[in-house]
Amino acid sequence: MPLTPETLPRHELVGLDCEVVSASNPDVVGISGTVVMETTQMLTLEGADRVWHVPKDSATFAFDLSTETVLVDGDRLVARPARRTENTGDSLWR
Amino acid sequence: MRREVPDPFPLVKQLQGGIFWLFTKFPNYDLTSASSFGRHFPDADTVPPMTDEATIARERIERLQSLAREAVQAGNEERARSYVRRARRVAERHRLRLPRSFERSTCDACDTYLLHGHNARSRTQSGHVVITCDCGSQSRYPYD
Repeated sequence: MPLTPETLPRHELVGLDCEVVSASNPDVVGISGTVVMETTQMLTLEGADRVWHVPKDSATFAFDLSTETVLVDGDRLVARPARRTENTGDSLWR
Repeated sequence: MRREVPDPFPLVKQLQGGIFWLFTKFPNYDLTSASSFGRHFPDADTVPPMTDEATIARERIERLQSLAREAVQAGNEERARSYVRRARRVAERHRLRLPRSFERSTCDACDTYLLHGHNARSRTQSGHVVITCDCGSQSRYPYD
């Protein structure tokens, strides 16, 4: 199950090229760069000369996959990075 | 003379009664795929198809490993540490074993990604290899 548009919200975001398409804060719209770090609430994008911290909530991101561009509503990404992959409540162990 | 014989397995009877009660309560319960109670009801078609999270987690670990290597090569050791820690956390959450190459090329003490000749020294001894990280901690593994 490689990185596809369907699996992207549960997959690793670090290393992907990303652009902020829309956001409640007009200053962050248009930021583009490589994702270098992720926290629960933030994505860290590294551009040519600086690093931005963009809140995931209230923003829409366009991720560049090799073949296509995927638009993701930032709300879907708000989670602890290692927990994002889990099928919530479907664990066999709980 | 007739005597009342006590039931030798009263518990079995009780259990059977309990299972029968479950069937009357949940007639659609799919026993063939039952691994945990409360799921696998055939009429639950509102639930989206499950993605294989273990596969995604394995791919994440692989990706983070190569990202950590690139970060060390670019001189960004602190970033490599955070990638290694993230990969360990993903493996922990999904009960996956880390790949052997990952275990051997990361420092157990400071979590950095080890590049031989860059931030790690490798010395061969009789029967095993000793890797010394720049932080001073050593790890060993046998000849394969």
